[in-house]
Amino acid sequence: MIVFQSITKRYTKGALPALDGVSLEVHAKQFCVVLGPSGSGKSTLLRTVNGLVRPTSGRVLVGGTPVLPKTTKKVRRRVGMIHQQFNLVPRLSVLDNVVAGALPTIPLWRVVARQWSASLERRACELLESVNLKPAYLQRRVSELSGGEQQRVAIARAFIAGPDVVLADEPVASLDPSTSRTVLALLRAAAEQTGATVLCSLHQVDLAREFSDRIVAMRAGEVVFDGAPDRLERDTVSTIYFDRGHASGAEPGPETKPATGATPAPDTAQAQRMAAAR
Amino acid sequence: MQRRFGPGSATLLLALLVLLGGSFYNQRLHEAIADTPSATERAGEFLARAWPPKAETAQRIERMVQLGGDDEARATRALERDGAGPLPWSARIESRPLLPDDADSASEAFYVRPAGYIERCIGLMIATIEMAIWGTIIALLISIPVAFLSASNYSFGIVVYTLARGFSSLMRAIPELILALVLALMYGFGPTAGILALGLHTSGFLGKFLADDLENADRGPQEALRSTGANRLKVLRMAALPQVLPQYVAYTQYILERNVRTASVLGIVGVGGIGLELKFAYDNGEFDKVMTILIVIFATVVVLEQGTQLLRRRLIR
Repeated sequence: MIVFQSITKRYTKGALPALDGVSLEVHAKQFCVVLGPSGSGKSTLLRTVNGLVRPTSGRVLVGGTPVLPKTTKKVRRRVGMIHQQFNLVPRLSVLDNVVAGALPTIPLWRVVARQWSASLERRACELLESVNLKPAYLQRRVSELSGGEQQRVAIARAFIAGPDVVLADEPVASLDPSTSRTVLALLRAAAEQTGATVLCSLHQVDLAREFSDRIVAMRAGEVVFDGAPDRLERDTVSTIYFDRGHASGAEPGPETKPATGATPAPDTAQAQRMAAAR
Repeated sequence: MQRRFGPGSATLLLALLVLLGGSFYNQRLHEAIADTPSATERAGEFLARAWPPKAETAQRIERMVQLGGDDEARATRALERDGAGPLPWSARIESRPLLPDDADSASEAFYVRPAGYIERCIGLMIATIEMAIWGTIIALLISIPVAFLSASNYSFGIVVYTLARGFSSLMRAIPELILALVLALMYGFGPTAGILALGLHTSGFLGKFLADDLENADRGPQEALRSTGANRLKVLRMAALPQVLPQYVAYTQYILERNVRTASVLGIVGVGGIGLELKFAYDNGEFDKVMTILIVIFATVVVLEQGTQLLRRRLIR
């Protein structure tokens, strides 16, 4: 479904590349998690798929279509996206926000007047139900909702256009552990229902193990692990998050500290807290 | 080390001292100051001429001269007989002695409206407000597309962007008084020139404010909608506009208020409204009229501010 052909991306000339010759193939209907510390290139990789980032070299194919400036709009219609900061429009209602995911297919006058067709509204309601949001929420402003509820609205928005691919850029990084689990479960359920391919970047190794079909681990712009979640071992996790020299040690390297709120390894303290949260 | 006074303030202080010292020894300046009435005296002089503000209008009725006695009632009857109909409730006929100090002198009949001048001023003020409202509407119509083109994240290329920004700057740079004078040459002295001057000048402000807000609006939602493949007009409507609209309503409110104030002044260059009346009254030295006009303008601005404030609270939940 998504093919990365030796993608390299340098944000500034001569700087270290954010992506360094990444080649991957994500199959249709796969739930693929990209794992890695901050700055490892996860977001950049995801954003090359819908043309928010243009690779310096290499190319990306989505369903056989190369992502080029010319084809970007066409590709974007088939790709939904979920963001870490939810990126909902604050002063609009839940319904308006969900419908906004289908903007390219809505005639301009409807957008200007914010009058949605009955079928589109029905579809939005169904999606909101499928992410466990009550119909009473429909006309409420998104800014009144909690973080978890907002991200569920964002999931509904990503799926309303019936996408083949959904990109989830750290969808649970700003949520608490139990909410994270709920949101990921809903995302996975929605993907299974619609048969969409999901490319999801995550910090949390345990969540990645639990929800993915496949884990791709990245470090400094390179893929360091690619395989089924049960093949991801403790040593590999250490290799991803810590300096290779300290593979077994607990001391993180100076510039590769896992981001705050992340779970570098399913360690005891963190695991206990997670268990308590559940 | 923290410096309290920079070299700039020291220079300024020195210059001030030199000026003061110089003036102390300037004999002619001393004499001039001694001869000049003080500021309070001058203000008092003005107030004495401007207070009380003029409220009534009195029109002499020529043919009623020397009627004597109960000429007030007769004059009223005569007016009604002549087909003028009953007098308006706020008007009356009054006889006044020809010589104010001598009650026994022959008297004249006057057609008096006790609040006539205030009514006239309010009428002119409404005309002025109309001018301001039309000016604001024109500014809105011009500024929305201009702002869209002068927001760097929505514009079409650097040329369009620079042209749009340039237009806004130019409109802001030309004072509306000058603009009104130039437009009066084109469209004649009248409200058209005034409305266009207000609209063009304030479109420069609104255009710049809205464009800056569009540029500074939260990029997240806009990027999210852009990544659905929607074109920029739809993204503008659904992601950017909801974010900037409350602020834009506030700007429009301010511009309307400002336009009312400016429209009052614009009358002076001949575009009509209350400004023209103010200029005539001032030129004739009728400062009681000037005072009435100023009070009406002040009251209008206060009422308008409260009104628009209320409207704004309704519009922005």
